[in-house]
Amino acid sequence: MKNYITRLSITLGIICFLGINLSAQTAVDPNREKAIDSLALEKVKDLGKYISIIGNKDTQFSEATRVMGRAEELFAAGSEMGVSSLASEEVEYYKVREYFKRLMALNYDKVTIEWYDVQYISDLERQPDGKYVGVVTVYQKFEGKSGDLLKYKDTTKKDITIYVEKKSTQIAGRTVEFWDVILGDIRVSETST
Amino acid sequence: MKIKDTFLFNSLKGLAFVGGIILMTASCKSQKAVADLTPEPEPVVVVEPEPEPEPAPVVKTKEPSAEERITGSLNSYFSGIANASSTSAANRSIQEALRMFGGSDAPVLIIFYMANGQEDFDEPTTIAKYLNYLKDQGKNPHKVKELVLDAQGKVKELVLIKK
Repeated sequence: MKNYITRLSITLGIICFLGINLSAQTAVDPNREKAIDSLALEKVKDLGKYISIIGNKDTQFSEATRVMGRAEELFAAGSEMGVSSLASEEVEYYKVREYFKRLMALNYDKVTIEWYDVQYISDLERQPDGKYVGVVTVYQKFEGKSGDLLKYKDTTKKDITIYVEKKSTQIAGRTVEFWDVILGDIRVSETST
Repeated sequence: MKIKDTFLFNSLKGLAFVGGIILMTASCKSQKAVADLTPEPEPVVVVEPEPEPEPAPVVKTKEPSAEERITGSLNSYFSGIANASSTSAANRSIQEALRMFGGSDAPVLIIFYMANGQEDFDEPTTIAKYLNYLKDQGKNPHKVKELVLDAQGKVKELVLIKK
């Protein structure tokens, strides 16, 4: 019996030690996590501005093409963008490059796109592999005019999956670690006037 | 009669003598009084020449180093590009700013968080992309923290930090 209690105590001690050690390893400075949250949110806001530039009929073709490239760099390869319409209940999905091209080619004289209320609906959560995953929601207000006449207008709520992971690269012969923010699919969750 | 004359004469002589003495004394007194009324000459004030003012110590303003000058210019370009009145104005500023770099692909590192000596970086970019980012987004969220110059004095690497 005494032998059993001793072995149990040792086992519990080891479990406690491992638990404390693991918790210390995974603990991250909360201010740092906040900064990572902000960084990721900023990338989503940047995308909103890029979409606005691409859709704007006053944007020169060369500028729009360059901006498309920058916007595409924000996404994981193969990511898709949902497109909805008040005329249909179906949501169509396009690869982001295809979506940008279609946006640029919309048949209006003037297109205004504005993103607002950009916020997390699911906070960035650290996964066992060290990557962070979260979901951000945005509202997009779209207006298409022909001449001065408003031809189409809607507001869509979109959910964007965000992945953040630590990577490293070589800069001038030295290794630099950085936080890579990658956007995944953008899904439409609501469409209204 | 001769004696009388002599006595009278001597008396007169004595009187004349005494009178002369009185006159002389009075004359001396009045001279002294006149002398007393004469203003004493003012004391000569020797004006010593004022000492020449010491030349003000020349405060040598420290010449800004090449890095400091470039840092100031770059921060100014960042603001100008982000707040440009038009795309073409922003593009002109971008071209001017790029002349300060060894190439448009000079790496730009961006620190978005720093604590306990540890720095967290955003994804590295290039100076051309970064300047266009400021133009596209119309915001100027970073400032120069460090820069590395090449032998020609052009920027070959830039480190920015969130304001």
